[in-house]
Amino acid sequence: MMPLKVTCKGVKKHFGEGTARVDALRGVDLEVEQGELLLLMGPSGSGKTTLISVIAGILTQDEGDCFLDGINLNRMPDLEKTMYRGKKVGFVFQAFNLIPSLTVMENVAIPLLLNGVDRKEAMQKATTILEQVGIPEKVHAYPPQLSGGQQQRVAIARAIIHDPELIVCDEPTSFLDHATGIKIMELLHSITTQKHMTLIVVTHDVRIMKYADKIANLEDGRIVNSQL
Amino acid sequence: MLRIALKMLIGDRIKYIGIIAALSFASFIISQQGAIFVGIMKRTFNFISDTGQADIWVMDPSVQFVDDIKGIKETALYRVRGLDGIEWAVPMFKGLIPARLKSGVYQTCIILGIDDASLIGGPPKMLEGKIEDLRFPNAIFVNKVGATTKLASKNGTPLRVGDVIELNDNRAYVMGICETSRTFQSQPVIYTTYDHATYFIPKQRDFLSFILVKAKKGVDLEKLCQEIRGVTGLAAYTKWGFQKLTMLYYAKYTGVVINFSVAILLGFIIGVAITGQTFYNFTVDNLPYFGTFKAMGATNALLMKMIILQALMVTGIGWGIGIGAASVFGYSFRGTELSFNLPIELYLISGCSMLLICLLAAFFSMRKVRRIDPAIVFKS
Repeated sequence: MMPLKVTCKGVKKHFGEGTARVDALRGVDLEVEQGELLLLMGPSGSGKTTLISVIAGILTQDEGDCFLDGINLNRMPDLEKTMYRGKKVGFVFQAFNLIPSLTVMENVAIPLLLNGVDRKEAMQKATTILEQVGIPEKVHAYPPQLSGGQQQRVAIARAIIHDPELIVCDEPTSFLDHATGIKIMELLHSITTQKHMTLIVVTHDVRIMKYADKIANLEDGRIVNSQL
Repeated sequence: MLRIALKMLIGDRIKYIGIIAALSFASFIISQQGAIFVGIMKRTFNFISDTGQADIWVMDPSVQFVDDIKGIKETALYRVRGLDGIEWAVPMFKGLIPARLKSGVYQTCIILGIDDASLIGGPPKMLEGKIEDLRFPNAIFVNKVGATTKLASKNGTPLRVGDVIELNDNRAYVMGICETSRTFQSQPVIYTTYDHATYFIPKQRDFLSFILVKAKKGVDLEKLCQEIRGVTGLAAYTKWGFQKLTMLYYAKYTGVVINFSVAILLGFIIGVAITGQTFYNFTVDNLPYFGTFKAMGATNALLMKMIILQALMVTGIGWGIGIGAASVFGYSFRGTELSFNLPIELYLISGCSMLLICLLAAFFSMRKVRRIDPAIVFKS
């Protein structure tokens, strides 16, 4: 059996107080192993994004525990958690979140630069990664000059450049047409399989279910139907 | 990452240019208005600066500034000369006199009577004639600005060496044209000897305006001033002390400080308002990216460094452009009526003002970024 990578036990999270209180997570239990691809599905407001935020250490849960590689993120001081996130987690966002004034290469190199890697070395690695994601010719282009699919490839390159153990993706295909979405999922799947990275994808897109090792359906902050 | 911060700043061209333009404008206004203020304040004591040989000025105790002339007894000169530590002490007369031009027009002039023997206290620079020519009977020197403007003939011909004018109904011969620094007073300046001055202006009981004193080498000027005060009962100031007295008088009684302060403050407020607003907007626009950095492992300290670097960069460029423009402005108006003096202290003051503007702008931006929830990255 592979080592356990992500474990959530009884995770609860709410926002607001009194009449404005929203219980985003009402006790989520989850296990994802190293190298697996978990799809988090469910309607809007079901708590998918909150759950990946907690797993990635961006949000702190109110109750329950979340372990990454056996480490309880809830017990980590903020600074340490930030550093841990910078080294171990990669992100792919729905809106790509590429910085328009930086070149593609610079955007991709950001996680390495944040981890203190020398600029020259970071840029070299960014060039290599961009070849892997299939857009070597766009190294010096700026994000606004790219199509949606190309921008998401850049975002994937940025998510994997520092060899994280976990990649969280928020609706990676929702801004893309069907064909491009499939290509992006195939790319993500092949890279993470090849590098043995754990991948958690929040999505509404049922067409990408075939890539999943596990699927969890969330509704009202609970996993209601899962293939875990 | 700091390089990335600068690229982010420059990449947003419109805001970048807006911030730089606001800072340049504020820097220009602060430097230019400051330089004019310094120039005007310097003019108040330019006469003292021009009379450079004297270490100490002795005068009536009620004198409040250089143009506030109150006569003292000539015997005071001998009492001062009798003190230890004095290299020399010479008389100087300063007053106003009506000059009648060939055209019949009267013009009030400043008349300075300097020591006949040593000619100490004479013009700082002779353009025509020699300083010794002042010893000729009824000789006068006229400053160039006066000779070419208020003492010029109706058709604009300047007063020249060899011309004759009437001072208080006495003939005076122009034997030289000199250059003097512009002062707060706009009247033409006429130099003559002390004796000639008593001829042009009927001698009164207390005719002497100032005693100019040169101290012996190594003598403490402040102590010597105290001694002069004690012995003569007169006021005695070092050169800088008299300049300061004059400057403070004008600062206090003319409203020049408040008037210029308003302009300078306006420049500062415009700088803070526009720069602060634009820089803050720039940060707010970039919040999703700062949030992305935070999610990807950027610490608050790193983000603060990035913002401070951005602020410092725009400060440096804006200040440089502003101070450069102010210098060009000053250079373009050199030799004109405009009083403009841009000392190194003003560079520092405007630089510090710019820094303060940017730190204020950066402070609010940093607060915003510090509080940013990295979960913002998941909001499309």
